[in-house]
Parts: sequence; structure tokens; C-alpha cells
Amino acid sequence: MTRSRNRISTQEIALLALLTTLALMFSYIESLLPAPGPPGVKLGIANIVIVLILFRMSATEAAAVNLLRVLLAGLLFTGLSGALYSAAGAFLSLAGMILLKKTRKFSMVGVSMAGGVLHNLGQLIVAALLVGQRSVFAYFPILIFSGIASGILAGIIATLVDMKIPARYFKRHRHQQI
Amino acid sequence: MRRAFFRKNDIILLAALLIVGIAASFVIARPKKSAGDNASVLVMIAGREKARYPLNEDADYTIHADGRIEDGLGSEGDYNIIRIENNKVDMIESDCRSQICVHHKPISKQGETIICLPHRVVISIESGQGGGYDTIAQ
Ligand SMILES: [Zn+2]
Repeated sequence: MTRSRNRISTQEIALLALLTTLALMFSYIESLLPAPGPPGVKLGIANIVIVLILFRMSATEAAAVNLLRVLLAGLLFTGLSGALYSAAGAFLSLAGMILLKKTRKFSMVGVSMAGGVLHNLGQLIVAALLVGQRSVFAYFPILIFSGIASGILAGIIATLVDMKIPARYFKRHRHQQI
Repeated sequence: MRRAFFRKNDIILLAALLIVGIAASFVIARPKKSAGDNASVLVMIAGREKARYPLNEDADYTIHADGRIEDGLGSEGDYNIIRIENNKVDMIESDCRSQICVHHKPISKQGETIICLPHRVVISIESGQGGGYDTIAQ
């Protein structure tokens, strides 16, 4: 039954809900930490979850979890302007990560690193629009470096988690398809 | 099963990003021109010019995120206090969440800025040449 492969299973819904909660928890922890530097400098630990989903499941699922995370975080703790920043960062970063992943030439760490930089870039663009001044781009270098650092960190953690979690937790009922 | 964290392409990407970052640092850190004698302090809120003060007249101003500016030290609402002293401007106080603007060092050179993102306030230095306001005020 190859057709069942396209249908989303109950187990998969439960897993995605669990992963969304996890990503949301990470976003919450980040919102509690004082901003360590200029706008956009974030630890980006929620990206661990997104990278894992992107590699183990699919781009669609990564996008769904990311969208839910940003929406829920905006409603619960970051507020409208916070949600605007994180949405711009999250979607620029996700788009870049999906493209890099598709090339099959980069590891989780490489993809996550690009995601970290793009995440900061997205936030910087929103900041420039909100303030109405290009001078915000003075933050550009520091945001690149912090994006690289946080992206690599998230990528390494994602790789370690990926090695520990048995593949069957992410696979779509392979045992039932046989 | 052991797996490498980095592949060859990851390293190339890392190097490329580092080069962009370092190049951008050099562009931003290039020495600024001194602002000259008739330099002014430009106050912008949400992208709109709100006020312009001479850099050589010491004073304090309280800028409110809603657009009001009062002389001296204020404290209610979303506010930023700037101090013009010895031909430099500093953001000395704000009730914004990040406090990045307050930690910024005083500015005095042409084109330098202090930005308070949460309040959408930008303080910048403009050189005197061509700046009409100063000459009219004098
Ligand atoms: Zn501020």
C-alpha cells in the first residue's frame, strides 16, 4: 500500500505536536534570557528542533512546526513586534535551510549555520524597516558572527540528538507498510 | 556509527560567511570624518525627523517614543534621555528592555548613530556644511 505513505498518521501528528511544544519551550526560554547584544542576537536553540525535523521528516513539516512556534510564541510571550521579528527571521532562515538541504551537500551543522545567519539577517531587515533607517545595518557584522556561532551550536546539538534517537521515531510507520 | 559534524562544503560555507562578516566589519569600522564646527544632533523617531540640536551647546533632552521631546530630564512613558556635552551626544537613560542604546558609547563624528530599537529612536550626527538650521538659528 504505497498510497498510505502520503497520509499523515496519528503517530506523526502526535510527534509533530510534541516537537512544536519542544520548539515553543525553547523559544520561551530564549524570551526569558536578557538580550545578550544588539537586536537579533539570539541563541536560536529552537532551531535544533527545526533542523531535526527538516532532516528526519520533511520541509513541509519543518515549516508547519516553525509557523506554529512563531504564532504561539507571539500570542504567549513575545507580543506583536516580537512576533514580527521572529517571523521574518524564522522564515528567511527556513527558506535558506530548505534550499541548502536540497543540495545534499551540507551536513546538519552547515545547514543550521546558514539558518542562524539568515535568521539574524531577517530580524535586521525588520529592524531597519521599523526604525526607518539603514544605520541599523551597523549591526550586520556582529549578527553574522553570532548567527554563525549559534547556528553551529544548534547544528552540533541536533546532530548529537539525531545520533541518539532511533530512526523509527521519525519514520512513517515503515513497519506497517511492509 | 560515528559521524563528522562538518563536511567539506560546510567549511567552505563557514569561510565564506566569515569573509563577508570581516569585510563588513572593515566597512563599518572605517574612520569617520570629524563633524566640523556647526555639527548638529538629529533626533528621529520611527523614521521621521523630530528635532535638530547644535552639538556645541550642552543640554539634556527627553525623547518620548510617542514623538514628544522635552528639555531636561523626564521619566514617564517610553523615553530616552540624551545628553549633549563637550561636542558629544550620549544616551544616558532609557526604560527600554534591551538597554543597548544606553550602553552605546557617546558619538561625535559625522554619520555616527545611537539606535534604540524598542522605541524606534535614532540619534545621529550631521556635519554643519549645508545644514541650514544652525545658520538660521544663529
Ligand atoms: Zn533602548
